[in-house]
Amino acid sequence: MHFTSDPFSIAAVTGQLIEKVAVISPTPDALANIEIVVTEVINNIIEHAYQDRPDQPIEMSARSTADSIQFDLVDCGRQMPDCRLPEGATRKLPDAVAELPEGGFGWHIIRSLTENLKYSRISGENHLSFSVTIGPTQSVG
Amino acid sequence: MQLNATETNDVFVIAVDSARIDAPQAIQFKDQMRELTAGRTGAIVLDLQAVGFVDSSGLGAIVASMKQLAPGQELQLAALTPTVEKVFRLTRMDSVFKIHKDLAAVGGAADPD
Repeated sequence: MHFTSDPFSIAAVTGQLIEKVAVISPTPDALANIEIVVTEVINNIIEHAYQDRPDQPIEMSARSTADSIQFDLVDCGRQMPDCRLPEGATRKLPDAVAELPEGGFGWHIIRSLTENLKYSRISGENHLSFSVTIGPTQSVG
Repeated sequence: MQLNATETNDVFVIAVDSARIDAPQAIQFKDQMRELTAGRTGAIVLDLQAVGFVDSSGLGAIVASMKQLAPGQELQLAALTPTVEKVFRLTRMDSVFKIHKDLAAVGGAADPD
């Protein structure tokens, strides 16, 4: 699928993706995981790789394996700092409401719901790949 | 982003009449919440039954809405749909908010009609 860095079009892109994936009848939980992860990944590409510049190209492919969907996304924005994916480590939430984080959840969510997450920088392009398990034996995230 | 505020039996409910709270809508949501919650005291219940999807920006906007409340105000959530509940659970934000299964479970039984 080819689309551009427009935050308002993410819902349509994930909607189309979910329709395509639905033909292999994954569980509702698996579909939810896919929608959540793909939204977060595209949000990151738009916000960080493209620094919110509109009309920049993003390419996403998805193919099914025995028990998962394998995703590959390519963009030609800025590379990841240090050429590495953020850890997205689990944080203990502070007790005080005033100190609660309002952001930075994305990578933790992505890492929780994906496997084989890989990033590489090739010829000025960012390549991100990961899989989302959809088999009936998927453990609850 | 449409938020509808009602008060029934002393329960102040803000119903989100939008299928998504996500990156494009986060700022609007926060601004409207700030306006609607200004000057209220006590519990404010955010009714999310119409919301099928919240991304991390939307979650952040809900947290920000709670942080911008005055002392004596409390933001509670009601009727989280499955995908929304999952995002709250993954980020552990389900332990931060009081979450009601539905509006009927809120004390005072606000009628969702």
